[in-house]
Amino acid sequence: MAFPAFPARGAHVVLRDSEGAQKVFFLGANCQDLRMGKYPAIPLDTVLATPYGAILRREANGKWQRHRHSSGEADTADAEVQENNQHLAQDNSAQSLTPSDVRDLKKTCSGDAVVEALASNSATFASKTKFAKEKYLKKKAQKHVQQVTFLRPSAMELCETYYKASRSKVCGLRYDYLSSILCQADVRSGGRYLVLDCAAGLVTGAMAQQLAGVGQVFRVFKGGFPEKGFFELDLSEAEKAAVRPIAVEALSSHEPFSTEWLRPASNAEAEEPVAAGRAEARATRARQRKADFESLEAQPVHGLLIVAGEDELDLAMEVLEVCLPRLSPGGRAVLFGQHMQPMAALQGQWRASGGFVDVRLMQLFTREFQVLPARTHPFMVSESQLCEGFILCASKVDNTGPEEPPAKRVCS
Amino acid sequence: MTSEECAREGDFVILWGSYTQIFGVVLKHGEITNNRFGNFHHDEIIGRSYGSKVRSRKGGLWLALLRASPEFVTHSLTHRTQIVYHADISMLRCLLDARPGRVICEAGTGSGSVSASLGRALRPGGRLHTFEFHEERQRQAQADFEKYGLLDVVTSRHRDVCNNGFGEDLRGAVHGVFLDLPAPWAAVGHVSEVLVPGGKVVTFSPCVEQVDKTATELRRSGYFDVRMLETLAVNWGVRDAEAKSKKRRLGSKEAEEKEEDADAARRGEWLSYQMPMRSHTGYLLVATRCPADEP
Repeated sequence: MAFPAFPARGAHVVLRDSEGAQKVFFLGANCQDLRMGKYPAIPLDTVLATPYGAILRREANGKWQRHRHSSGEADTADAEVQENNQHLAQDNSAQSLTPSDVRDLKKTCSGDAVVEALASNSATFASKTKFAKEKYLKKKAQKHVQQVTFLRPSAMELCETYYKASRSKVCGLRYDYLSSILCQADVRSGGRYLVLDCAAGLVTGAMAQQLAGVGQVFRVFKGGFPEKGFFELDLSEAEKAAVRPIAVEALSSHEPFSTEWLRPASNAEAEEPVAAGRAEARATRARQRKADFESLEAQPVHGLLIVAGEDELDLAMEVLEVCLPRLSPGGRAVLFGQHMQPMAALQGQWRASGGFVDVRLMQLFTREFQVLPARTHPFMVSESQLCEGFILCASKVDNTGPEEPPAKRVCS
Repeated sequence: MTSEECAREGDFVILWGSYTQIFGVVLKHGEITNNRFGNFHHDEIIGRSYGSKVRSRKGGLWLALLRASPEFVTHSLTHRTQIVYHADISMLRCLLDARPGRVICEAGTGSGSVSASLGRALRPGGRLHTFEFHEERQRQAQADFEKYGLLDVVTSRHRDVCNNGFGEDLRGAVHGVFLDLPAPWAAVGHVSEVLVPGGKVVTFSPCVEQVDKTATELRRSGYFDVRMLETLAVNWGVRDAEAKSKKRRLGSKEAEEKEEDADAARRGEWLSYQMPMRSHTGYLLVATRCPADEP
């Protein structure tokens, strides 16, 4: 399968700068140079000749050039720390270069040289421990070295990129949650799914990747829907074709074919020659919508996924109400949201109803560690959210037969 | 209803009894599954649609008939080794970008919990090559994959990858590697033989020292973005605020009436509580192989 080594025209690339900020770029026909934050523009020719995973660094001559990944972490062979900070004063007097000196340096030197100058003009650098020196250089490099790392637009990379830029853009959906939702809903090639995706289209896109063109994803929407993630994943045409939009109004109406979304286009405008082409397009679109809707209604789906943010709770409940009857017995229902109370209420109702089994409400506690010889510990972040949001999942069961009260069930 | 929606003879299905009683069963005419819920005759299960409640002949207790999703397989499988659970599995699927068409290697196979999930994620068009150095465990795992119907996508081999590598046929042809080994650092050299540039390797280890050694080895061997992660599932239970506790039922009549009023006010309220969780499973370490022109 396609695992391109280089970003190509028409594809996306994720760039990460030395401070860790990430941005997605589309290398479309109109794309000239890439502008990453405050960095000078990176010419497209250079970008297209740089493989995924590589680093480009801005050198003293003003050019962006390949830079190898360094494996240079401090050796642990003599990790015994002798020095300490007993005689270090924190009065900002250690650095003899002034900010304007640094600015001048940056005009003529590479980022590396600036970092070197800062270290050699620091009165305390030499007396620091080996680990402290390494940390100092790394911090200065983050600030002064201009470099970008090329990353593949995978579901995980995009999710982290969007999440870092704005949590609300992906309604707080972290990559571990995204993957968990797909697993819990058993999204697999050949399956049929209904999804409400308020997370920048990333859930829909990741589902389309799993389906690989076999099966169907019916994307429920009201008004419009974000497609950013869906496009930036660089899906193939076959993968994209498995995703069909369905308006909520058509699902909730008793007469779906009289809703605006499904109503056939009127022919009034078609008489004017200018509008004829447009009317034709509209008729094609109407036929497609009708076909999609009928295809959904032909059979129940294997899974229902609802990923909604803080402002979409009402929509999530509306979608849940109209979509649950379309979920086949044995199918999975998976909801993601930021608030516990509505999830807990559904969990209680589902457990008591007899119409569901395996009803689980969970969160994921995920934290990242710094892993360095003799310095491994969780990253220290003052405002971290180790648990983000809630996942409610369950299997729907057929509840039409004769029923004994749930109390009679064997408890384990 | 299409035949796909019904359980057929030979299907590997899940019979769900409770959160801790989840049975994986291959349906066969004439056979009976016996458990604490009663005796379940396969003849009465075959042909039923998924999502049905199937009853035991005596006692009237039911089990829910469900599809064998990887999640349920994890809950139902026989533990031959310590197994990897949902949070770690879904995380590593994400880290490896496991999806149809990709080729992934796993060592060791263990009880097959990860293999079942990866295998499903790679279908169609992909392949999971899973390696186990314990001969008997490999045989059992192979039998399980046949039972789960995964042989079209999973290849199971008896092999010690730390000493013997992944095999010539996989050289430069693998998009991702997952290592669940006691000494993952010892396999890094062999991983580099099979992993494509830009491919990812993920290891799962319970101890910090294992991660530390592996990370050092990976950095030395031309891998970048070496990240260490820990992920745990936090489970929540729920109960009806109205449901009376035993303690309260023993109180005086007056107190009871008072409580009934209080109950009425709480009608429809649900109380959440945190359920016991695994406090530690293992650390995941992920690293990306450098581009081809960097050794």
